[in-house]
Amino acid sequence: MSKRILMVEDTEDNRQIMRDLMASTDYQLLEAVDGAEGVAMAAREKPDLILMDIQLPVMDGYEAARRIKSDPALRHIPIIAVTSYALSGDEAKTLAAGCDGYVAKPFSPRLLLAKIREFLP
Amino acid sequence: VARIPARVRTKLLAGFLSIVGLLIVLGAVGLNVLGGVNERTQELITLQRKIAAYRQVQHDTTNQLYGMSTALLFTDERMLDAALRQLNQFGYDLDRMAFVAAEEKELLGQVRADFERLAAVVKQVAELTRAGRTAEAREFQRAQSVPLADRLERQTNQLVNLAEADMVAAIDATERTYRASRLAVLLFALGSTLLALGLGYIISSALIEPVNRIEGRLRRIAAGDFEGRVEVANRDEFGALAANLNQTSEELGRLYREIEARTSELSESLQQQTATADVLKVISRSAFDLDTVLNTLVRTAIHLCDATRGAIWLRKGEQFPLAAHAGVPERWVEFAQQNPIVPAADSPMLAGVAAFTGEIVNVEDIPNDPRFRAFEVHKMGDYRGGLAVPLKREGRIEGVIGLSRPEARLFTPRQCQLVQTFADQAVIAIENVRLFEEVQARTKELQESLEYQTATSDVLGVISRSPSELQPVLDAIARTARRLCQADRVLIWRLNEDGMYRTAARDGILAPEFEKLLDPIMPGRGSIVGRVALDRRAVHIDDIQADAEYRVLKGAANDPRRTMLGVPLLSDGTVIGVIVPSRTEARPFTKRQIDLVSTFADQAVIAINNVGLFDEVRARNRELSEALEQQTATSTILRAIAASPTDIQPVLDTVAESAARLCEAYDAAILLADGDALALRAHHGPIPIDFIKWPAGRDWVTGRAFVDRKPVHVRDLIAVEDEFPAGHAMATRMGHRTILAVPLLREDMAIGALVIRRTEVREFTPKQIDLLTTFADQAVIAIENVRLFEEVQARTSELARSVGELKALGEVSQAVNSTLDLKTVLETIVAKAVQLSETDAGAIYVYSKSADRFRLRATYGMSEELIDAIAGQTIGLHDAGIGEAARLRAPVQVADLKLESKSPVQQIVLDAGYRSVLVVPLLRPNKIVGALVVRRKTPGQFEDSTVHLLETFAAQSVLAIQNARLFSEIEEKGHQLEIASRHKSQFLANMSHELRTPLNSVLGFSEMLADGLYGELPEKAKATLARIQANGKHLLGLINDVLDLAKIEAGQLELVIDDYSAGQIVKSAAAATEPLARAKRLELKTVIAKGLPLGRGDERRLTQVLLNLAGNAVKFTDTGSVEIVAKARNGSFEFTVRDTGPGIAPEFQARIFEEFQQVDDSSTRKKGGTGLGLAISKRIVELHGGTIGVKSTPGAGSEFKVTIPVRTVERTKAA
Repeated sequence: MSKRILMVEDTEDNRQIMRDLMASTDYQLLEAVDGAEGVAMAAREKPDLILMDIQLPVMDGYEAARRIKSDPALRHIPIIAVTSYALSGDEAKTLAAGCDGYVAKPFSPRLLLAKIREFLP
Repeated sequence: VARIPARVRTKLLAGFLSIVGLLIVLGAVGLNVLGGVNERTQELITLQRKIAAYRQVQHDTTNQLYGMSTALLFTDERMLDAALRQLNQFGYDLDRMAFVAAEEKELLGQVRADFERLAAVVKQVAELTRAGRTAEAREFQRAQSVPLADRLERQTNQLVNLAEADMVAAIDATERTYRASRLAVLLFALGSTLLALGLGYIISSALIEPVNRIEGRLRRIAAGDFEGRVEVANRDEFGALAANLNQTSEELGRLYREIEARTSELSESLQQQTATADVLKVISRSAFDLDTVLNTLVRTAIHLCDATRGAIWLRKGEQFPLAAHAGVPERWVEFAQQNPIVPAADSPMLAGVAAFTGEIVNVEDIPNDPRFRAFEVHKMGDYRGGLAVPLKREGRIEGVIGLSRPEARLFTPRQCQLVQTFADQAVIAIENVRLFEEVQARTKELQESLEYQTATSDVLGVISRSPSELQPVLDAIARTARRLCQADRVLIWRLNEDGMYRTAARDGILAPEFEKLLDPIMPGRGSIVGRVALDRRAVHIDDIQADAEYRVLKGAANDPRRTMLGVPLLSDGTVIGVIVPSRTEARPFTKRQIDLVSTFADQAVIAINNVGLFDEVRARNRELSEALEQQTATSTILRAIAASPTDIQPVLDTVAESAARLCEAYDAAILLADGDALALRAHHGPIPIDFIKWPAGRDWVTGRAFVDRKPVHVRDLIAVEDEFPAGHAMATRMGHRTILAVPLLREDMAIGALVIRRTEVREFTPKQIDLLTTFADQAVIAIENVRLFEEVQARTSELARSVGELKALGEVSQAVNSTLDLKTVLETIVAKAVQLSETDAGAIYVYSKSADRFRLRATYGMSEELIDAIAGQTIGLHDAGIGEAARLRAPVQVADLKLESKSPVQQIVLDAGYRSVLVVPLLRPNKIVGALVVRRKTPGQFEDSTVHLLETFAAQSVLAIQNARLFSEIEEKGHQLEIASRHKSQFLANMSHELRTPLNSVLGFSEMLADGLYGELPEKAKATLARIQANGKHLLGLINDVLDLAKIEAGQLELVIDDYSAGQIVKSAAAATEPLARAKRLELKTVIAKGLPLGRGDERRLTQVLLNLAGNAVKFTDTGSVEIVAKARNGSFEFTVRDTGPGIAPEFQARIFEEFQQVDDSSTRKKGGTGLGLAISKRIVELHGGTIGVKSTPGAGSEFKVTIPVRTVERTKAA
């Protein structure tokens, strides 16, 4: 069964990039548009990996990651922060919130895919 | 220690157990037999007792019965009694009878019955008898007792017989039993012995036999028989042992044979070695007597090699004459002596061949050998076999040993070897002799040298011992030279000031009258001294009588000299003397002797120079000690000055004393100006001074020195009456003659004079005059010192007062500086102001212009009520007191409030008990700040110093108030800045996000397009897409750089300080730029110095810098190379990036580190880049405390150099 990736992303363009990118792979893409929805979907769908934007409406990515990581049932799911917060110290902040990986925007789809494959070989 | 094998042990145990078992059995049987015998013995004892009893019975019964019968017959009383006793006795015997014949019961019963009856009868008889009824008794007896007794006797006998028969039977039985027992014991003894024998045999066959065999074998081995074998049938350890033994025996046999062989070999070589050793002994004993050695060698060689004749030839040039021989006949010797061996391959002599080939020549039969038989020499016929061995030293043939014997037989290899050894020995001996001779020659030479050196060092010793005197040195040289040159006389001549040479030392006298004729000598060829003086080198005359030029005393009948030597003493090219050894015989001096005398000459020159130097040193020493003495005096004076800074007298006394002593005057005095006169202030010495004060004038010496302000020296005061009328009079009165006076000058002004006097006429030396001037100066210094000291003391007490004030002010300043809390500062000021002005209370008011009001801010010494009361008052600028002072910008005081209380406040103050008040305004150039007020409870004007003091405090207060205001302003500003900065960072973060989000779509989609995710694109579209991507990336770079720069500008760039490797940074930068360099076919080189220290700084940022520089270099360079170099120097890393690009024009070089600057716009457009990289790099480098710079020549490449401290000081936030 193909692995499922949950993308939490509020920008439609970025979601489209991911959709297009995933179309060329074996991964199945789930989408959430804000942090709260991301947390709910993660709990419901139990995806194999979460791509988490940080600047999100309703609930930001830091909080969403913290909530997912504080749920014992979801804790094992790796979270890659995909964020335009690319200033120094931002990476450390995402890791502190519980994220397992960090990709700065603008990202190269090729490199993001490589990063995903690190977690889901 | 041999262990008993286990199986043998088992056997021994079995044997032992068998014997023990046997013994136990034997014991048991013996015990049994013994029991039987015992029993028998008991029986026998009973039997014997029975036999005894039987015999008694037999004896008794018969007697008793007979006695009784008899007794009864006689009726005698006594007899009766006896009969009765016997009867009783018989009764007892009856018992015994019962014992004897216990088995005859019936018979025994009859006997007993009869006995009792008899007893009764006898008693009756006895009674009857006693009763005198003898007849009756007799009758009774006859009728009754006798028959009874008879019957008893009969029966008893019967019993006895029976018992006897029993006994015999018993004895028989016992005897039989005994016999049977003895047989049994005997049989057992026999049986056990046999058993033991049997066992013993078994054991011995099992154990002893093999041991015996082995032992026997061992004994035979010990006796040297290793052949036999020992056979032991046993399969046990004995068998193994025997096998081992056999093996060992064989091995031993083998070893024995080997040893025998070796022993015989050894004894042979021992013999040879002994012989060799003998030879060696001879050689060593007569090491230097070659003949003995050679003879010994020949003889020993003959002896050891079974030869009869022998000879040694030794090299002399190309030939080898005979050197030693033995056993050869006389005619052969003659022949050999006349014909030295000539080395040749076809020499008639074996030795000749050996000397030619250097090989051993061994011939079995010389006269019949094809090589030699033709030669006549071998027909003497007394030898056949021959051997010739060459003597070689370092490959050169030095001689030959030859041996021969009368039998035709080859010399064995061993013999050849032996002779070879002897040959070696001979070579050594020859060498030894040579060395010995050499050593002897050398020793002789050395001895001579030693003697010369000793002599030289003797002379040197004399020189060092008498550095100041020349004569002992010259004497020593003359003496030593005579001895060592074997001269008859040595003269040393010295050049005198008149240019003539005169004798300075001599050793040896030739003839007394002759000696006088010599001195002095002038340079010239006629004498040896003169000739040496002319030639300035050594002159040797073999025989003066044969020397045509020699004139001095030539032909004099008594000139005994023949050979002469003259050696010059040269100093700076001048012949300052000559050493002349001479002999009365014509025998030239040797080269060594001449050299020796030259050495002596050198030494003499040294000695002469030494003496000169010594004199000089002595003179210098004298000068120095004088100077020292003067300095000591000076320092004494200086000490006196230091010791009594307030009192001038001790100093003047010391100066006078020192001046008198050091100037060799008897007397010294110091006079100081006192109005128009000179007053006597110090005097040392015996010459009286009969005035205290004398008018200063030129008519006396001291007066003149004072007036003229220069030293006056008079040789004899008595002689100059006209010039010094007053002085002359004084001299006449006081008795001094020579006098010297120097003025005491202070800044060219005479303040007195120092005078020294002598009672005799003796001038003072210039040095003494100088010295006295020095003393005068010192006296001035002392006087000056005292004046200064007094001045200082006056100032000091003044200063002490102000120090207190300063201290208070210091404390105030400290308060102002240490705290920005205005209230604390003002309270400190007012407290100090009150304390220092010695007032009773004080206050500080601060003026608010907007409210036109002075507010009470700090008080000291005021009661709460007073404070409340005053605080309740409104004081404005137009009020009296405080307002007045502020208005006038000057202190205002009220001496007595009771007399003039001008304001309500003053009234309150007066009511609180204060009488006077001083108000000092607190002012700034164009502003009123407030007022400082002090109050006293006593009326009176405030002193000026108090007013000044308070003004100072007022100034401090102004400062404090101002500081506090500034501080609060700064704090406010800081707060605002912080907020602004926060806004800025938020803005940066937002910008970053907002700019990146659209860019993500641009770059993301275009990359996927390019990757063909949306299907293959036409070529043209691909190119366009590449442009979009490139521009997008450029935009991203721009955004990153702008944000970086903004962060730096905002001071938000934080360095992550950690350890890093400078080399790694270079490698990272090179790795990142390498692809582009390769694409452009540029050579990218990195040079990393060895042993770079570990750096400390922000590795990522430094890599960014280097990457930027390297990236620029690659980007702007089209051909050639880019080089990145890292090294460490003076505690800094130096990173250099060099390229062969277009270079940078000088006018751009300074600007490229500014934002948005590039060399020129066209190149930027062509090469891309934001123009921010260098600006960012510069900031990063500066944050590390480093520098960045560029060197470039247009057209010749650029060189960027970054210098950063190896260990960047940690700063959490960039300033």
